[in-house]
Amino acid sequence: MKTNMQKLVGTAVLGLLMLSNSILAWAGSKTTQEVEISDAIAKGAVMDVRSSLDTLQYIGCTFSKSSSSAGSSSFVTCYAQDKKGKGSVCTIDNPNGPSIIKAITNFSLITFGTLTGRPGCGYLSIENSSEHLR
Amino acid sequence: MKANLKKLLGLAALGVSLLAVTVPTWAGRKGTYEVRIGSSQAVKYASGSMVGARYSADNKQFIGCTARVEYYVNGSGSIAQATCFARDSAGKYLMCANGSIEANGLNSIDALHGMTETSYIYFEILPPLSNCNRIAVYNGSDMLK
Repeated sequence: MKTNMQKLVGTAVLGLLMLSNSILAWAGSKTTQEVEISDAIAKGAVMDVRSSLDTLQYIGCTFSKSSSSAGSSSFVTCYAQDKKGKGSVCTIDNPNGPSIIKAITNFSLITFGTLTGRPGCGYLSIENSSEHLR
Repeated sequence: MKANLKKLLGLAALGVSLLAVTVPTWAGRKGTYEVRIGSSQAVKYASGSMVGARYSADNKQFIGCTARVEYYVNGSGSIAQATCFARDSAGKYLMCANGSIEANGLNSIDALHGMTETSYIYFEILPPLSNCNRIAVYNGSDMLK
């Protein structure tokens, strides 16, 4: 009886696997990008980072606006930490910064850094592509 | 042996049935829009849904857009740019880019704000120009997986 039950459960699982369209249909072009930090650049795909095996990785951006008697200022700061705990922070005071990070979704590839050689942070890119869907 | 095979298949079917509780709810209109790159008169265009591209049977298709800001090395200003790109099942590729110094790039970048997993994307160029003549994003229930 117990053997039969085990067989029943096992085969039911097999049935589930056979039906799983996730296995059959998850083709399309797919790239995987966990957090990667070099001297000039940090990048990571939101979903790939979130589902990485370690508990250290993250990537994201924040928008801040402050006002004072001297006027107001707004800037975007992006953060990343790789699986070894190495971190990267980048602040951009470009007027288009807030508009750029509004585009971040769970299928975004975030890239930031000093690619252009400008001191501090000179580059921020948000790529929304089907390739970054899970 | 034959009896065992029958039993195996029968139980596999049972497994399928057990999972099929989602089937009744998977009605509603559903569109599958894989990446299509074509031309019409003076326009060259690409279209497709995020889901249609990602879950297509081949491993070539993708579609998407990028928003970026970049300072020039010489410190003479910055560029804000929106780029859209697509590749179809045959490997044909199309991209377009809009950008200019500072605020003029904003309108094209705005097109990315509404992008979700349920998006259908369309963009076109007017060859030989490669700037985006049009970027359109449709979000709807029929684009869900």
